[in-house]
Amino acid sequence: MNWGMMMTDHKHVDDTMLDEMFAAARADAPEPDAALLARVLEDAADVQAGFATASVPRAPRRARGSGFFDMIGGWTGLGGLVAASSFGLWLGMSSMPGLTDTFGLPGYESAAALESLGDDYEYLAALGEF
Amino acid sequence: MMQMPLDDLRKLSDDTLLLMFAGGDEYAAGALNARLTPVVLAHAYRLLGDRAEAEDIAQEAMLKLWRVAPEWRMGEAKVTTWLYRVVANACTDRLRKRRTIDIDSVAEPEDGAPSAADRIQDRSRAEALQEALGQLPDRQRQAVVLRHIEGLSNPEIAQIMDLKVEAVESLTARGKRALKAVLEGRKDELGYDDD
Repeated sequence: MNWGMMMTDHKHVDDTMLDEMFAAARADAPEPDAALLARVLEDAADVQAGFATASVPRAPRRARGSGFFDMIGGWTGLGGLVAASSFGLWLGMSSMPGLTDTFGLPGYESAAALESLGDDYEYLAALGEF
Repeated sequence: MMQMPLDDLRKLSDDTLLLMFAGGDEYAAGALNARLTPVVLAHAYRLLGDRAEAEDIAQEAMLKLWRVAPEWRMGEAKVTTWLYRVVANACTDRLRKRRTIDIDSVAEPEDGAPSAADRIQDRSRAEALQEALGQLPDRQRQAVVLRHIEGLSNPEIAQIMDLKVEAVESLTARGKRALKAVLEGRKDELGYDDD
């Protein structure tokens, strides 16, 4: 009988003993209590709510006055409106007495001046001045 | 979004549930919580030996999991592998802080005769092992716990600990030798008599 071997087996912690202790530790795993599980779940809900906020597309903000802009037909409509307004303004201004030179058309004063030229008008016209 | 019954959710893999969580499924978090919080709590407890601190780490690790969900890539890594790593890093930080605080007040244990073991009577084998694990260097403890208590393979442990498989084998072997030495003085107390 090998007494030395037996002494070794009995006196020291061996692999079998250690394996039994590992098994005991596995069986003795701490279980999370209800409070911890609730805290973890609460964290999950908070984080998940953040995902929802980040993924929902926000409605584009409408600029002030954009309703009127849309109503007149956008940029195209605005261009037409400006052109029409300018033409109307031109018509209005050009028919006013005394403002003829502004738009290069002969008005009342110009006509009166031409009449005062008398015969000289015929002469000047022949020189190409008018 | 259409929800699945809880029984069906339990059959799904961790990463599938995580993607469902990211997609807004309200039950996926419950299934993952029930499955993974016990795992991270147990691992944190085995590395720290303190229930309250282990609970903090478990909540912290799960919070990181919820946050990483939208970026999780299916099939690239196991969720548990990632979690073991997060837990181990958090525990290492805690242990480092603990040592900084206690360095002057706690005496270093003598080889083969842990002072804590002498003070504790009638503890179960699991508790004695936990005490003994606390005497190991951090990396040895982590490797031993992952291999012999969590039951992971050496390649998986290598991935978690960022080591080569050979280094894991060496760490676990040295860890077991150290555990045997630490537990030697508590054989009788644990029901292993000499007869």
